[in-house]
Amino acid sequence: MTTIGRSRVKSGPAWTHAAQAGLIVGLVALLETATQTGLISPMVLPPPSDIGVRLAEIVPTAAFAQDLTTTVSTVLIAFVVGAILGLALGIGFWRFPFVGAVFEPYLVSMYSMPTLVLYPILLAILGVGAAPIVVIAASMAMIPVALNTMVGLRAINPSLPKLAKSLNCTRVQLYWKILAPAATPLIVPGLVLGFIYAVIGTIAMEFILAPNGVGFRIGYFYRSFDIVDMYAYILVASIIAITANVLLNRLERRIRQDMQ
Amino acid sequence: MTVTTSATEPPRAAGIHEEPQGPERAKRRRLQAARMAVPIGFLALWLTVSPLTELVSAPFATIAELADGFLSGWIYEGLVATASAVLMGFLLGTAAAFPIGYLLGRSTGLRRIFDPLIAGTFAVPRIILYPVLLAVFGVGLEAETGMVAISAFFPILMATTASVKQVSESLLKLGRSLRASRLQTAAKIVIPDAAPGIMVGIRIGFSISFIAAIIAEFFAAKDGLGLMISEAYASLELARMYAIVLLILVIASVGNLVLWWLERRLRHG
Amino acid sequence: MTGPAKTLRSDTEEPTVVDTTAATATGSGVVLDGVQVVYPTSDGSIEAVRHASGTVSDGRFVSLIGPSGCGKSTLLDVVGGLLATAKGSVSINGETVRGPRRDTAMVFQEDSTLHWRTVLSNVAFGLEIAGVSKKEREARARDVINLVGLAGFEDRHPRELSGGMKQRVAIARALLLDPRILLMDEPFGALDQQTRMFIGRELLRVWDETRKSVLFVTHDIQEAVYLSDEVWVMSARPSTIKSVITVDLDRPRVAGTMADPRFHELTTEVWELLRVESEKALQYRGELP
Repeated sequence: MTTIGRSRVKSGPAWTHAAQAGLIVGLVALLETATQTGLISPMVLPPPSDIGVRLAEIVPTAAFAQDLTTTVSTVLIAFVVGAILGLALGIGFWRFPFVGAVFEPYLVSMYSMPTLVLYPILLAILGVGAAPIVVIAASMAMIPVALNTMVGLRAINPSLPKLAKSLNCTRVQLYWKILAPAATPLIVPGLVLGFIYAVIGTIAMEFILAPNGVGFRIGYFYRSFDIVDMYAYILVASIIAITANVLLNRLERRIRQDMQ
Repeated sequence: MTVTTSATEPPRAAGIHEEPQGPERAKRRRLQAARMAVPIGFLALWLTVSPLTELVSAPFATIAELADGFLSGWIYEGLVATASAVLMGFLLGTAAAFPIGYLLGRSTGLRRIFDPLIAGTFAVPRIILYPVLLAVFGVGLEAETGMVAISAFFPILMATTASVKQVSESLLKLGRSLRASRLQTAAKIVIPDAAPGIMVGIRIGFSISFIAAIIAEFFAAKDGLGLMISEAYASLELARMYAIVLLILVIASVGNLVLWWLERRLRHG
Repeated sequence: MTGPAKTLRSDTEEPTVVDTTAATATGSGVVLDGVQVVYPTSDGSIEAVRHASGTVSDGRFVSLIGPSGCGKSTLLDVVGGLLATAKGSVSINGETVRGPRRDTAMVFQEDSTLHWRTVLSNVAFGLEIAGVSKKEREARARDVINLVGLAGFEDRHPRELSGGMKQRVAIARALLLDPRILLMDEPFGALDQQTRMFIGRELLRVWDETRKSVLFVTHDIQEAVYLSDEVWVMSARPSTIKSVITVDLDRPRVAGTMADPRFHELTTEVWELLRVESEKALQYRGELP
C-alpha cells in the first residue's frame, strides 16, 4: 500500500510505438524460428520470410494487378452505391420521422446481422459474378451511412433551422449551408464505417463467390495447395483492409477537428 | 473502432417504466402496428415476386420444405453440426475475449499498445483466416469452431474493453476508499457496471459468428447448414436452399432478440 | 450507531494499512502537517497543494472552501488515503495515513450509487466489502436508512430516486461504516439550491445524533458557514490553508440562523478572503486580465 491513487506517469506515443513494433517483430521472429526449425510444418505455415519473398514476386505480375483492380473497383462501386442509398434513406427517415421510427429497429438489427447471410439467395437470383458481391457489399455499406445520417440530422440544434428561417434562407441554402455542415460530425463516421463494411463485404464474398479478386485468390490457392501463395494473398487482403481503415480514421479525425 | 457507437446502440427504452397516456399511447400503438406491418409487407412482396421467376421459391413451398426438413429429419444432421460449432466456438471466443477485454479496459498502458492494433484490423474480414484454420486442423468441426471463436472474439473484446474503461471514476474511487480487493472491485463494481455494454458485444458477436460459421461451411465442411446450402444450390433444389436460409434467419433473429432482452434486463434491473 | 466499529476492526484489519510505529503526531483528531501534493502531467508536474496544515478536532464540523480548481478535493483525497503526499503528512489520532482507513468514510460529489443494487444493498455495500454477514449488515443498514430519512425506500433502485435522495444513500453508506471522521467532497454540489438547503439541515440533524468529525468540501460560502464550526479558506493553486474562521453561531442551527447579523458578518468575512484568491485563480486560468 505504498502507492495510493492513480498518479501514474503518462507515457508518450514514442514508447507505445516501440512496444507495438517490438510485439509485431517479435511475433514474426518467433514464427520464423518455429517454421525454420520444423516446429511448425510448412504445410500449416511456411516461414514468414518465404511468404515475404513470394509476395514481392507476385506484386509486379499482371494477374495481381487484375485481381487488385477487381477488388478495389468492386469496393468503390459498392461504397458509392451504398453511400448514396444510405444518405437518401437517412435524409428520408429524418424528414418523415414516423417512417424513420418504423424502420429504425430493422436497420439496427441489420447491423448485428449483416446481409451477408442472404448470399445464397442473391447467388440464385444473380448468379456467380460481380453482381451479388456488389449488392451485398453495398447493402452492408448502406446501413451505417443511413443510421448515422438520420441520427446526425436529428441531433441538430433546433435553433439552427430557426436561425435559417429568420435569415430568409432558401431551401438549398438551408440544406447546404446549415444542415449538412451541422450533421457532418456524425455523417462522416457513418461514411467511414460504410466504406469499411464495403471492404469487409467485398473480400468476404469474393472468398466464397467470385471468379477473381484478392479474396478469391486466397480460396483458390488453398484449394490448389499453394500454401505460400495463399498466405501471400491473405497478407495482401489484410494490408488493403488495414490501410483503408487507418487512412479513413485519420481522415475522419481531421474532418472532425476542422469542424470543431 | 469507437465511431458511431451512438448509432449502433439499439434505441433505448425510457428509463422509468411508465405507460404513456392519451395521445402518446395512441401514437405508440400506431408505431408498433406499422413496425409489425414491415415483415407482412415483405412477405407480400415475396408472394408477388415468386410467381414471376423460378429463381425465387414461393413462401409456402419454402415453409413446407422447412417443415419437411424437421418432420422427415434431413435438416437435423446439418443443424446439429452447425449448432455445436457455433456454441463451442462462441463459448471459446467469449472465454478468451472477456478476460483480455477486462485487462485492457482497466489498464491505460495496455490499451495504448493494443487498442490501435485491434482497431487497425477491424476492417479485415475474419473469414480469410479460415484457410489457415483448415491448414491447421483439416476440414471438420475443429476448424469451424475456431472460425466461430475468432469471429466472436473481436466484437466481444472491443465491447468489454470499452465498457470496462467507461466505468465511472466515482465508483472506482468508492471501491478504493472502502479498501475493496481487486477481486471485489471486479465482481462488485466493474463487471456489474459494464455488464450491459458487454452484452451488446455478446449479442453482435453471436450473430456475426453464426454467419461466419455458415460461410465457412459453404467454403469447406464435412457437415452443416452452410454445406447443405451449397449442395442444394448445386443440385438446383431452390426450395430447400431457401428453406435453410429462412431457418438461419429465424435462428439468428431469435438469438438476437433473446440477447437483446437480456441486455435490457441488465440495463434496467 | 453504537459499537459496530469494534467488531469491524478486530475482524478484518489489515496490518499493512495502519502503521502504528509512525505515530509521531500527538493529540486526537485529524492533523495535516505541511502537506504537499504534486500531480504528474504530460508536460512536467503540477503542484496542487503546498504546505497545508491544520487540525480537525474530534467531533468538529470543518468546511474547506476555496476558489474553483484549487486543491480542495485533492486535500480531501489525501486525508481519505486515496492520494499520497509528496511532502508532509496527515495523521488521524496519531497514526499516519498511508491508505484508505477504516475510521474514515467518504461521500463524493458525483453519484456513486451502484445502479444495479437496491437502496438497502447500496447502503450495506461498505460492510459487504468489509466482510460483514448479510444478515448483520442489512439489519444495521436499516437503522441508518431510517436516520437519513430514507425509510420506505429500501427496495428501490437508484434510478427511481432524486439526486438528493441518492446523496442520502451515499451519506448513509458512509455512516454505516461508523467512521471517526466523515470526508465529504461537495456532496450537494450537483443539487439545486432548495434541495441543498434542506438536505444540509438534515445533515446537521444526523451529525447532531452521531457527532462524527466532518471535513466538508464546498464552494458555497453560506453552506460552509451554516454547517460548520470552522471554515478553512484555501488559496489559489498551489493551494494552502490560508485562514481559519471560527463560526461562533449557536447550535442547533435553525432556519433563523441565516437571518442572524453574525451569519452575515461571517459570510462577508469568508467572501472577502475568497475574493482575492478567486481573482488570482481566474487570472491564472486567463479568464480575467
